Amino acid sequence: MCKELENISLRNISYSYSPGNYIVRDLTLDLDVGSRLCITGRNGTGKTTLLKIIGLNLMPEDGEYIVNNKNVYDEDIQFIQEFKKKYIAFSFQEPLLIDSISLRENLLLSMYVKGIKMDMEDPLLQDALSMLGLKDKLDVKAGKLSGGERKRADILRAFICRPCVLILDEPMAHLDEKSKENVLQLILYSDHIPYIIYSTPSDRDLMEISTITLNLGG
Amino acid sequence: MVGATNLLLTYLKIYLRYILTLSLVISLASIGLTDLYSYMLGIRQVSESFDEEIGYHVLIVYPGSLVSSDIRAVIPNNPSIYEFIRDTHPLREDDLSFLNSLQGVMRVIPFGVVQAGAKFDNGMGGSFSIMHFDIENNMDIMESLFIFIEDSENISNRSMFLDFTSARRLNIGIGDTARIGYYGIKKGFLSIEDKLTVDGLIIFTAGPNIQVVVDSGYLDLFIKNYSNMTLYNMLVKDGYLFQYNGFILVVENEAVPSIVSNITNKYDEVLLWTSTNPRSILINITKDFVSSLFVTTSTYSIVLIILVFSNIYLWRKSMNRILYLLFTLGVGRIELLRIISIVLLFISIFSLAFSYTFYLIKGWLYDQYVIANLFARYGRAGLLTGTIKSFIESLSIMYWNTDILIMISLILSISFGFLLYVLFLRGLRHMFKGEVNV
Repeated sequence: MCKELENISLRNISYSYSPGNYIVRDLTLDLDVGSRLCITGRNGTGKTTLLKIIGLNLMPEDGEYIVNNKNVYDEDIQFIQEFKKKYIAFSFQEPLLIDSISLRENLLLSMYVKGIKMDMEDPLLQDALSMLGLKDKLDVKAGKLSGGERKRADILRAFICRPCVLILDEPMAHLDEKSKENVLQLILYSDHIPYIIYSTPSDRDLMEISTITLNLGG
Repeated sequence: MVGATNLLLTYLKIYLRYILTLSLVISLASIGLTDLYSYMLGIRQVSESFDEEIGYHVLIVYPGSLVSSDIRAVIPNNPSIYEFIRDTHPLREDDLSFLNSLQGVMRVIPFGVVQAGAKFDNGMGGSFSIMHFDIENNMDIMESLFIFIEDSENISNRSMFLDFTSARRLNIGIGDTARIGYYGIKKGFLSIEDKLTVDGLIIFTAGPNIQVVVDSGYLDLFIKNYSNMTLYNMLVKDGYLFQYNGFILVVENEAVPSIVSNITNKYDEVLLWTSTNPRSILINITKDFVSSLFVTTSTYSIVLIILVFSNIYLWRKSMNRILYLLFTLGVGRIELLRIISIVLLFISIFSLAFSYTFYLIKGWLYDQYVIANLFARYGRAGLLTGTIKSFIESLSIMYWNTDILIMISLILSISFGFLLYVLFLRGLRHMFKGEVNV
C-alpha cells in the first residue's frame, strides 16, 4: 500500500493564525521513502502547525501538497479524508484519547475507523505494547492512565494503524527517561513505515536518528 | 478483528451521556407533543366530521356548567369527582344572542340536562340524567344524536353521552310518563353490557343550576304549585333559562373552525361535541384545557431547550475532542453517517424505552387519580396557580395513543440524528481551517 507513496512534497506552504502574522511562510519540503524528518525549534515556532499541515489536519493559506505529482489540495474534503485514513496516522502533543473507554477500546476504535484488520494478539501490536510498557494497561480506562502512559498510548494508537506516514508531535514530551527510551525504540522498530515525521524542541536522541532535520528557529 | 458487538458497545460507551440526555429530552418532548397532537387531531376531526347526507354539522356547546360531567367521564368512580364542579354558567338570553350572531350558524337549540328519577311499571325506581330539548321541531337532531351514541366507535364518547342522554324520550318533565331506554353498565361505564327499555313516571328532576330535589313527600305539592313551566317562567323572568345548560348548534360545515374558535374565546370553559358522524371523536375543549396543554408544552420546550443547550455547552469540549480524533483518523461523510446511524440507533431505542416508561407512569397516575386528587385537593384551595396549575392539570390529560407516541419519538430521534450529522460535518470543515482547537 505504501508503495503508492513515492514521494511527498510541500511547496511554498504558508499559514497564519491572524492576518499577516505568518507562523509558516513559503516553506518547501521534499520527503522520499525512508525519510525520518525531525522538526525542531523553540515553542511557538510552528512545529505543531507544520505537522498538522503535513498530516492534512490543517489547510494552509497558500502552497501545494504534492503526492505522486498530484496536488492533494486540488481535491475535495472527502478525498483528503480518504487519503488521510489510508496513509496517515497522527499522535498529538496532548494525547487525544477517549477517557470513557479502555485503552483496548481506544485502539480498536482507531483500527476500525482506519479499516485495519488486526487481532489484539498480532505480534506487531504485542511488541509495541511491550516496548511502550502498556501491556497490562489494555483494560484500564484511558482517563485513569497517568500522563506518561497517556502519551505512550497515543503514540501506540497511531503506530498500530500501520500508516505510511507516521506523525508524532513532540513524542518525548512529559516522559521520563525510561519512557523516552521506549519511544525511541519504537521509532527505530518502525522502519517498515516509509515516512516518520516528528517534532521536538531539543531532544538530541530524536535528532540523531532522523535522516532530515528541519529547524524552524531558535 | 474488530467485532461488531464490541464496536457497538464502544460507541455506546463513548456517547452514553449524550445518548441518555438526548433520549430523555426526546421522550419528554414526545409525551408533550403526543398530547398536543392528539388534541389537534381531535379539533381536525370536529372540522371533518361533516356528514354529506345530512347536509349540516351539529355541534353541542356546553359552557362551563357541567364540567362535572366531563370529570366524571375522565375519572370513573372517583369519590372526589364533585370536587371538580366549578362555577356554573347558567345560560342567559345573551348567550342565545351570541350564538345566533355567529356566522354560519343555521339553528340554535337550547338543551338542558337534568337528573330525573322515575318509578317504572315494573315497580323499580331509578335515577337518570336526561338531556332535554325541543324535539318536535328538531327531530333530525335527535336522530343524529342517537346515531352518534349508538354507532360511535369511541366507547368513551358513548359513555360520555350516555351519562346524560340515556333517556329515549327527551322532552319530559315531572309527572310525565317516559319511555326510558338505558344501558346497563358494568365497571363504571367503559363496558356496555345491556340495553333495556322501561316505561316510568318522572317523579323528580334536578338540574345542576337549580339543585331542585323533591322527595316523595313533597311531590304532590310540587306538581300542583310549581309545575315545570311555572318554575321555568319564573326563572326566565329572572334572566335564567331554566335547566338549559347548553346549545345544540346546526352549522354550515365550512364555518365550524371559526365557530369553534369564537366559542372557545367567549367562554372560559366550554365542552364541545360533534355528533353528525359516528366516527367523530368527542371533543372536550375548555380554555383551561387548551391553556394547560400549551402552557405545559411551552414549559416543556423551555426546560428541554435549556437542558439541551446547557449540555451542549458543558460537553462541547469533550464532543470536539471526539470529533477531532475522528477527523484526524480520516473520517469522511460516509463514515460519519455510519457512526451517527449507530448513535441514532441507540438514541431511538433509549427514547422509545423512556417514552414508554413515562407513558406508563402517566397512565398509572391517571388510573390512580393521583394527579386528579392532587388537583382537587390543592386546586380548589387556591394553592395551585399559574403555570404549576396548568402543568399539573395537563398531566391529568391522558391520551391512550401509543402509536403517535412512538411515531413522534422516532421522528424526534431521527431529527436529532440528522442535526448531529450536519453539525459534525460542519465541524469537520471548520477543523480543516484550524478553527477548532482541542
